[in-house]
Amino acid sequence: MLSCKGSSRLLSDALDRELDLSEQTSLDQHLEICPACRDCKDQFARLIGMVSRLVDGELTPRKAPTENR
Amino acid sequence: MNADFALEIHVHREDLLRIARLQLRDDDVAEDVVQETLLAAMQGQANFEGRAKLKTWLIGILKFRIVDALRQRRRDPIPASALQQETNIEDLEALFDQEGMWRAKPSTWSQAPAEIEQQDFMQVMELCLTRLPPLTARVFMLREMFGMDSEEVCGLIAITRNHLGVLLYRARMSLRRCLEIHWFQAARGQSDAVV
Repeated sequence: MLSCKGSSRLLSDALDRELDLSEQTSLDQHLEICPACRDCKDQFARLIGMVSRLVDGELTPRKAPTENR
Repeated sequence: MNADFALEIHVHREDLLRIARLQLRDDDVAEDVVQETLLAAMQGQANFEGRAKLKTWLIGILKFRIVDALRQRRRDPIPASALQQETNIEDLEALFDQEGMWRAKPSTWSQAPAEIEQQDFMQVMELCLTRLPPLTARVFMLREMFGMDSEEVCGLIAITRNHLGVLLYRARMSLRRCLEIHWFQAARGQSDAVV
């Protein structure tokens, strides 16, 4: 069973690489039952927009994780 | 050379400098990079088509200059001690208990700051970025501010994918915590923050 610690790491990794199937499954299962980690996921996603806004411009669109492999 | 255009460009000098400083953590190099950016902008005025915002265009040029500066620095490898220190996440583990559960649970963040709060929010964001260790801040900004993909960042900074993953994790965990304490909880008037 994935802990919140493990889940937070996978949430970060998922923004930079494609998770493998077992990682994705255990993360999904954890998020299902853990509101705090769902908030964490939302916060990580919000950070991206906040940093972009710091430079106040439409910079290079962020590439999807699947393109990074 | 168009004097009006020079003036328009110089309005953004401070903003460019702030970004360069956050990214490079070296005032002299940041000054140089911004100077080069403004010079390149003056020379390339014909390429500015007015469709993009001027600042966006300038930041596009700044990005290339920063990447160049970092590429030159590749010749001086990152001190092993810095990499070791910033990729050691023992301090982050303190955010979790022995079972790996959150000690202080992330909260639901309210909506984006209203227009009127924008300036204050950006100051807090900048403060939080400044608090990140140098290498962590650099890779995070290359990735999230400049939109570079993981391979590019690894190549530029000369680190492994694994190290990059840890540094980005550190950056996100630290930033979310910092913003939570200094913006979202502060806004709600809560003071139950555990740093």
